[in-house]
Amino acid sequence: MVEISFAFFDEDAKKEIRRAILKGIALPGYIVPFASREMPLARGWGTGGLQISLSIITEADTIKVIDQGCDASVNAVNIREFIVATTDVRATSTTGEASIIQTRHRVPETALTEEQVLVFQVPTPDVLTVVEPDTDKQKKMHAHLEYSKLWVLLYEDTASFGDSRIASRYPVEVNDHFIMDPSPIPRYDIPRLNDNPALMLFGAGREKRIYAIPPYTKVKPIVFDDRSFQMEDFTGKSCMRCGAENVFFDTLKKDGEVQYYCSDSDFCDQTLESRKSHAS
Amino acid sequence: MIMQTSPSSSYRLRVSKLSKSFTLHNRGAIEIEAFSDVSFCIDPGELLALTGPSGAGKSSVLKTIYRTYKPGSGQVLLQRGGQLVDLAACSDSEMLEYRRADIGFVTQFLKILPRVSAVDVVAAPLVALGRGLENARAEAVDLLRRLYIREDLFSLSPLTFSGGEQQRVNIARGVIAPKKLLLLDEPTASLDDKSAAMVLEILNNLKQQGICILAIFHDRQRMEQIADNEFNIMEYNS
Amino acid sequence: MLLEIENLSKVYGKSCGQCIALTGDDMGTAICPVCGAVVAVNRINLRVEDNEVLGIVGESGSGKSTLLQLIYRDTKTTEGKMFFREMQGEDGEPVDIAGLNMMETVLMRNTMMAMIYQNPRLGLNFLFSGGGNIAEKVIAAGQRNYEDIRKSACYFFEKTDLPVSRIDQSPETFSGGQQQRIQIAKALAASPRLLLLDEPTTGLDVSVQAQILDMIRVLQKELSFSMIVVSHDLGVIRHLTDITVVMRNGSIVEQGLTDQVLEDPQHVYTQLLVSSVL
Repeated sequence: MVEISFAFFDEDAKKEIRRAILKGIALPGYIVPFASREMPLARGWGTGGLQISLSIITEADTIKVIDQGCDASVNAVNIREFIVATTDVRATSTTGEASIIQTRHRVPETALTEEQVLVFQVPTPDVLTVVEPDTDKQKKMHAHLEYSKLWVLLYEDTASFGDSRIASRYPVEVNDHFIMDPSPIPRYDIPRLNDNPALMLFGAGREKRIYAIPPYTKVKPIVFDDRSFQMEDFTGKSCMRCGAENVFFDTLKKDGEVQYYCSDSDFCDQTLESRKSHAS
Repeated sequence: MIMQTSPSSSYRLRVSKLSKSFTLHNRGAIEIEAFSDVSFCIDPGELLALTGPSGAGKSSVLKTIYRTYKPGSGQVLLQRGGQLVDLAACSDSEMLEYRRADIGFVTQFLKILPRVSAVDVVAAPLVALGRGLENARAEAVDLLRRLYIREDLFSLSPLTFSGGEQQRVNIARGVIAPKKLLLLDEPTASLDDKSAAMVLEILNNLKQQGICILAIFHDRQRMEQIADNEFNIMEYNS
Repeated sequence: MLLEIENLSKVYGKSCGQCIALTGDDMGTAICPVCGAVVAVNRINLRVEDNEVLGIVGESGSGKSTLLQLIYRDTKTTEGKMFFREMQGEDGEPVDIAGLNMMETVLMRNTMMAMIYQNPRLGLNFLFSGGGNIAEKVIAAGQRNYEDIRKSACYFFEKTDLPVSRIDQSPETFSGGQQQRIQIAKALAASPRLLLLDEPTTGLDVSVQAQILDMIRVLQKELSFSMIVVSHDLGVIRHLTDITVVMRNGSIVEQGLTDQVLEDPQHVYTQLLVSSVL
């Protein structure tokens, strides 16, 4: 029987990925190519995030994996069990207890700390793809901070719809320099990227790219000077399950009525828990 | 024999030993002489008539001074401020500037952009000088009226006008913002007596303003009414 | 002096080192007899003054379009210098734009020089709306205020006689003549000192051609910029330009005031060209 090394990868593979991560941290928002490995998981299912998680994890870590805010989705469960199986680290669903949180499409509701790393799964790493399909040109445009075309999209949406139509993956300027794809998180989560105490790492397995936002980095969505950044508005709404307000909700249509539930399942559980203990 | 009509030193234009010939490369490089050794002076306020039989090269002299034809040899000296410039030797860019500021040329044919109204065609030189559009148009209307152009034609493109009307629009455009030197190629050719008399009156006016004019007339009688001097290109060439 | 070109050459393909000397109109060919490289532009010297309109005529392959591409930095210079007054070095002197890096080129194209291509697909981004194409220039020049950008886009749409009601539609939905107008609107949004036009009306209906040429002429006078117009159509050259340059085999064979070149052509080739007009 073949011994599987800690965290699946051999040390050389981890070294190569860590190198890319370090470069990404050194150049906030800069897209670093890396040798994305074949994983026992199909590309497009979080292999970028998984490779980052596996290359930074140690025995002392506690892992949490969420998909759209939920720890119990099949994809999140698979990834979490794979990490646990190859590392034997402790797994948790509680945001506050985790040292590494791998996520798809959400930033947790619970505020993160300096002790934590948030690992994003990224489908399309380059924010310029939508306006310039040629990767060679994309690189040059980043080098020259030539982002006019992104602003043109914003202009066109504003002209036709009064605001950008981008619901998720809203382009952000990192550290007053590069413009970056924040992965498909909702607009609601964009302000959470700014000045966050946690290290944020982004991995795109299929596209073989890694980038990063170091702790306490300035991150701001691109917005015209005479416009303000608009987010999903849940004013007056509360969670059908736990009653929480001022969080990002999943919406559900039932009998022609729209119902709201916390997107972050851990946050929902905890709110419910504290309600119960207050009640008892 | 040189027809030094006015031997004054205060001339505005002095043409000296100007010659022009054409080389037709596609016809075995034959050379055709247009005119040779032409010399004359024109003073401010003087109208010099260029005369001679048709084919003698009168129009060619005007075109060579204006540089539509490339001068062969000789000089075309123009007094410009305190400066004497040789139109036969200056650069293309300089010539463009002199044309813009100093030399007007009214040819026999109206060459204008289509789809521009008669008033705007005539007003254009004033607008180019920075005169307001309304002002310029008012002056253009005045001048067109004086030249007996029918009011209902003002807003139409002159390209739809009769030959005589086109001629008058052409003259109006050429004299509305008169430059120091005016070259006229048969300004009264297709005009009736009434219009021709008005053109001569306008030219007289220009002379009084000190404009110097070199003109070709097809009609000797009209020429004699207005010309101060005459330069006969054939007599001189023979 | 807005633009001064000194000894400019462009060799396509690997040069044997003697190409430029062995080609040109004197040699009767643009193809190097030693190595077969194409010398599209051969030791050209040219000056453009403020508000001057320069025309370049010549047959296909004479190098006229390549010359424009060299000035616009669409293609790399092989030899020679180009001084563009608006691009200045730290000493305030014009720099040789043949040596600009990509960022400087982008700056030049966004704020001082613009190009109108024969094919609107080269000059316009068809993924963007008509207004978006104009907005791109305004944004690139540093504008980040939506209302101001919108106003500029509308302004240049109106200036080029385009229907503002259709400003948010793709260039795809506009006619060929209107696409050319959008290109011109976009170019004007860069507030150019020098506008380069490569066969701007070739392929359009005659009536549309005339309207667009009229418009270019009016805008050039009103907004005061210089132009270099490349065309094989002497009608376009007569209509638009003050000075005309005739090219053959990568060389300038004749240069003069446009009316002079057309009425009193000097060079054997120009005479042939002028006498060939239908």
